[in-house]
Amino acid sequence: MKKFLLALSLLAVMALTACNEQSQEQKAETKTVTVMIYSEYIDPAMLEDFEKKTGYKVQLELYEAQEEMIGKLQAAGTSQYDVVIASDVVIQQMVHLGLIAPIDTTKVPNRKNIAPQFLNQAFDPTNTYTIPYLWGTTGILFRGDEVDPDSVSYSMLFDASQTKGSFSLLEESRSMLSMALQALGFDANSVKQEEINKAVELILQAKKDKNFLGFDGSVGGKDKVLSKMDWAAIVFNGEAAVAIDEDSTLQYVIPKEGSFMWLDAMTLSSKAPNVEGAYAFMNYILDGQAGAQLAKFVFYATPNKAALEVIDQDFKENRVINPTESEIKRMVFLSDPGDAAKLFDEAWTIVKTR
Amino acid sequence: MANSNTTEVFEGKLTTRSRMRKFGLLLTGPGMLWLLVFLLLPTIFLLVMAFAQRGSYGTIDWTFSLDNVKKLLGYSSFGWSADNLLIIWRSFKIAVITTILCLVVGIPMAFWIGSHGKSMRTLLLALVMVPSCTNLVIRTYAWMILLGSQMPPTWIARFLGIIGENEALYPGTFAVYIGMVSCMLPFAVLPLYTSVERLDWGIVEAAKDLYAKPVRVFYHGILSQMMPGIVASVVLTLVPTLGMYVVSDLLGGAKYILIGNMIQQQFFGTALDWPFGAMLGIVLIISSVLSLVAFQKVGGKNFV
Repeated sequence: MKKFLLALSLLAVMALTACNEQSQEQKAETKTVTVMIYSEYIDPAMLEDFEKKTGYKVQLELYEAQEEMIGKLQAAGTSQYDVVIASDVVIQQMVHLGLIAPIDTTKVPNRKNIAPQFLNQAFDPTNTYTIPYLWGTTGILFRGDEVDPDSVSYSMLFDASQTKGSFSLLEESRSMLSMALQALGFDANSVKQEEINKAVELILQAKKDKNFLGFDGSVGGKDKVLSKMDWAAIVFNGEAAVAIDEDSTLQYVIPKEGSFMWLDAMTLSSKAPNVEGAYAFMNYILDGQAGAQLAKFVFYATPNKAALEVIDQDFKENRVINPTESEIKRMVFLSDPGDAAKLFDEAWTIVKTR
Repeated sequence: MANSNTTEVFEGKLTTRSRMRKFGLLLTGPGMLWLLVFLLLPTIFLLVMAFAQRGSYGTIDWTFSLDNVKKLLGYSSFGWSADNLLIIWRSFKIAVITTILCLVVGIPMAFWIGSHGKSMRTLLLALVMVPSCTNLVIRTYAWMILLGSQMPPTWIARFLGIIGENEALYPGTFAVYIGMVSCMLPFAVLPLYTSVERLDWGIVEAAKDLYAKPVRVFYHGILSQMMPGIVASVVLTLVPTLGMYVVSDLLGGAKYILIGNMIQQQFFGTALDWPFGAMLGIVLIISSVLSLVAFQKVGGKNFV
């Protein structure tokens, strides 16, 4: 046993040194672009293609949650990363914490391919810090007959007389409260205390419904609807598309009162060691072919006009991934709540206590 | 008084007091250093932070006030509410019930294991410990599936009329306690088993000889001897369950939060209020220490 352990640890040490040597070799040969990104959020084939076209090697640093990403940037330092993929809601916070730097847009010529609806939004009003990567919607996934997608109301969840089975709400304070605000006819980005208070009451009322199963993340909600544990849940459209692909009796709707869109953007780390490489990467993603490949691989909508021109018709006509004009009209981006974050937290504590 | 330089005999060797002190310091030094760096300093830091303020975007504003105490007691932007106190009360309730359940299941189990031969005991103890080799979250997911609406336990519960026709055992209170007990039971059983193994059965026989009723035999003859083991297993189950929230979130459907969730929210959630998180952490530390001291006092009085 001892010998075995010794052999095992020797093997581990050898493997580690081998890795080190390898990465040092890489650094000597080509310059690397370090990209911090969600896991499974890019097609590996694209990385090879990018290396062939630009000569830069891409090293991916994976994360699973926005908080983890910010934590890593703060702890390991921004000099470890070049490009950071970040969600719209944390952009202002990252700017404030000095984690990301302004982007020199002249170095990213393909920026012209960004659809106008993703520019000048609340998360980056002057388009200084972000280059859109992928975007998506939030809606209700449920089991039932096809419905007019513009006629479904939040009352299917919030009104106990209309719930047809178990349902889950979204386990994320800001998102869930903003949807409740919209259900009541208020602005999703409201930070008015009395309006948030009413949103809290609405969710508390839904909690009393005997059909209420609990709060779930998007993936958890999708799994519960698929396994018939839930009749309905609030999920992101990517999850909904996957679920509907597996079970065609499921429907995904953007409630008529509105909902929120989200966008993941490429940002430039404030101490990026390879700024030129970072721009090359951003420019590559905004290329039509690459953008189409990315959207198809990850199954989310692309903010890239040029990509929409070359992407196949099937994907473009997938109503779950690419919402209709009328659906887009009733959706908003969530703005950074700033110090009102405290208000949302206190409201959420009430939601989760009573 | 002996001078520190007078020679003394210790463990068959001639030595001086100062030399012994130095040697002792050498032995205890690493442990003390560990406690200083990883327990004392962080706790002091936490205590200081608890009275600071949340700056904008989750930074820490080092101006000190009692605002976090007020917030803890329920004063928020929405006026006063009992929510925070309710959360702490609920965390305690779940921790105490879990601990009691662990003892109720664990004590007979310890006796049962102790009643076997030596090699069988080792095997049974290993079986108690084996589930801990699997990650807690994975075990909890297993319970989610097992207690779901399509599974036999739910059918049985429906057949017996314990739950309604369309309900399932998961998510709910029952599922939470099943998950909590299955997670904490190994920690409760081990110290209990040790004290069962060390029982002086002579005392039990003496009690019987003196015509004590079975209840009194158990209470004075067995339970009092087991008290150190019971205290240890309460410590090992109560303290971790006070701060635990993964199991209650996953198996309870995340409908209600506990103090553990609240701390998580302050540090990694939307709130980004580290000072208030620190305050909650301090509350958790103080309340677990206090409850243990109280338990030991009460236990000591009644039994020893």
